[in-house]
Amino acid sequence: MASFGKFDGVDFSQINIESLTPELRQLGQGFRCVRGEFVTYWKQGRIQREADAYLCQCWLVRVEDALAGYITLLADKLEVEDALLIQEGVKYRTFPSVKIGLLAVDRRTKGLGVRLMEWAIDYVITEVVPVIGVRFITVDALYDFDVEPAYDASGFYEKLGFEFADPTEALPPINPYRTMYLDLKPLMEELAIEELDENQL
Amino acid sequence: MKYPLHTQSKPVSGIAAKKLLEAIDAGGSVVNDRVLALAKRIAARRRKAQKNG
Repeated sequence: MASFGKFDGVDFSQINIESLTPELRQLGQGFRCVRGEFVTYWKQGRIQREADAYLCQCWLVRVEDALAGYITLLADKLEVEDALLIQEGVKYRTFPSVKIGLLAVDRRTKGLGVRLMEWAIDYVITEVVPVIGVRFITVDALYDFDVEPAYDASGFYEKLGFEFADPTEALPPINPYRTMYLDLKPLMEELAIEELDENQL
Repeated sequence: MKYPLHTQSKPVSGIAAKKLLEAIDAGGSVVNDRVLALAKRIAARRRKAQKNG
C-alpha cells in the first residue's frame, strides 16, 4: 500500500515534467521506490551516464528539491517473429518504436506513474511522430518471480492499453520482464477526432 | 531479481503477431477500449493545459 506524507497534497495530474539537466542531477536525496534498483540506478549516476552517452533521454518530476519520479525514453523496434512473416508473405519485419526504458516514482506519490506515462505518450505523438516515423511505444514490464507474490508490472501498462508481445508466454518468463506494446495509430486518430469535436463547439 | 538497466524487446509472436500483421496489412491498428479511454484523458489534459495557458 502506498504511504504518503512527503508529497501530501501534491496534485500530480498536471505537474510539470522536466528534462534532466546537469543542475538537476543532485536531486534524489530521500528518493524511495518500491523497487530499490530504481533508486540505485539514479543514485549511482547510471541513468545520467546513459543520457550523456545518448543511449536514452531522461525526464523527471520534482517537488521543490525532492525527486518524485523519472522516466527514460529511447529508440526501439518492435519485431515480429520470422516464421509467421514467411508464412504470411508480409514485407515488414520490424516497426519503428519508442521504448519506455525506466519508470520510477517515489512510493509516497499518488498517480505520478500514470502522469509520466501519459505525458511520455503525448510527447512522442506531438514531438517525435511529426519528424520521424514511430508507430509503437514499447515497454519491458518487470516480472520478478524471486519475490512472493511475484512482482508483475504488466497490469499497470495493460490499464493504459498496452498489449503483450506474447500473451501466451510461459510464466515466469526467461528474462525478468514481459515485452508489451502500444499502437499509436488508433490513439492519434482518436485524438484527432477529439480535437475536431472541440473545434466545432 | 533486479530489473536490468538494459532490456531487449522480445518479438511479437503467435496470435499477437497475426493480429498485428493483419491490422497493419489492412491499414488498421491494434486497438482496445483502454486505448480509447487513454486518448480521451490525453485530450482532456491538453484542453486543461491550454485553458490554463
